[in-house]
Amino acid sequence: MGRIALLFLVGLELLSPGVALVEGAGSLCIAPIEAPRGGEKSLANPSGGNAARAYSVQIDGRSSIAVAADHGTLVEALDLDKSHTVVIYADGVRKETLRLRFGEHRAQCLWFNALYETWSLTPRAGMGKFCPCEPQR
Amino acid sequence: MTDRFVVIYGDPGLGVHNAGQLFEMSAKTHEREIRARTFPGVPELSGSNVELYHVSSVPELVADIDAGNVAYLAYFGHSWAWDDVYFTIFRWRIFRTSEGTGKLYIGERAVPGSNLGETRNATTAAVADLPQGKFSRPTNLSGVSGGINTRKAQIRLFGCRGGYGSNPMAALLAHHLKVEVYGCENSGGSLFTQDPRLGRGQRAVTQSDIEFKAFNDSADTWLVPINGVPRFKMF
Repeated sequence: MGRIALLFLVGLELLSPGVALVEGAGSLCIAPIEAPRGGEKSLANPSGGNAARAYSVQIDGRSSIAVAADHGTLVEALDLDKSHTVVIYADGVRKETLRLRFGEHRAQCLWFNALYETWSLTPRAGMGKFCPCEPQR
Repeated sequence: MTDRFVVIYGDPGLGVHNAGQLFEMSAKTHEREIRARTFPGVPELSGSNVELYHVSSVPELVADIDAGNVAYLAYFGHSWAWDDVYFTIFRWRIFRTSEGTGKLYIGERAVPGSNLGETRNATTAAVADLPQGKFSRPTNLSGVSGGINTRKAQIRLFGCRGGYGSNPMAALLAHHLKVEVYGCENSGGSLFTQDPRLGRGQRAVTQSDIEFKAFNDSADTWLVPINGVPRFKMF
């Protein structure tokens, strides 16, 4: 039964041109950032008092990508078998470096926790509406 | 008056910070564990009552401990300890420009006292605003084997970074209230687990724990740090 199910899944992948398994590439959605606000930080005002005005992300030394406040940014064609270096800049100053390894999740999300001012990499499937990205045109 | 064991949980939070029912589920699990004596390090109940409350602000927290004789207080909810900030040159720390500090983010409404912190502010009540003298004095209890144990009052923080860094919330509370306070010294955020071994600090977090989403609403639930083995530090 398990073998039949596995074959069924493989069949679906072969019938779906453009899916990541065929291409062997992963993607990273950079979630929109909550813009800094005035007032005191609290659960009601998570980005209150955050100092950085603009964040940008550099992946494997490529050109920096500005993190938008109103939409996610999708980075595609990332090698699934390699570890990628994700460097985050706050107002142009290097803030944090994360290692991206896809493992079994080929769609990952890079998101900013405005309350604690931390960056995280999480499988995109678990982020739902908080990691919205459309393919780049 | 009988000593009291008080378990409180804060608001779930909004948007991406929304923990749903998981703080409440973790607090209820902790209440059961206090009765069953299955959570390591928690004082022995020995006939005391356990009370469970939802709080959305510091004044509500104060109301719950105001009757006094608190032998144990556990908090489940959002919290953080901010890192110290340094003046750096080429990533070398030259000197500290500001000291980090701990906060409890209890309530999700913008009202006075929705946070608990070191200093008072528009929505933050100061630790100094908490009433002193509400915790019970060390008590001699009959042990299981007939010996005498001494039970000291204790506070335990279940949330992110409760005992992390140079000035966490556990340190602030211990200094002001003069009771033992425990908080996790792990540096990261937190996750919820329904594995008792991880929940009781008997193993480290794995990637599958981080990705776990299929929570059973009726199963025991624990809040643990997201990185490594949960390490409670006493202040």
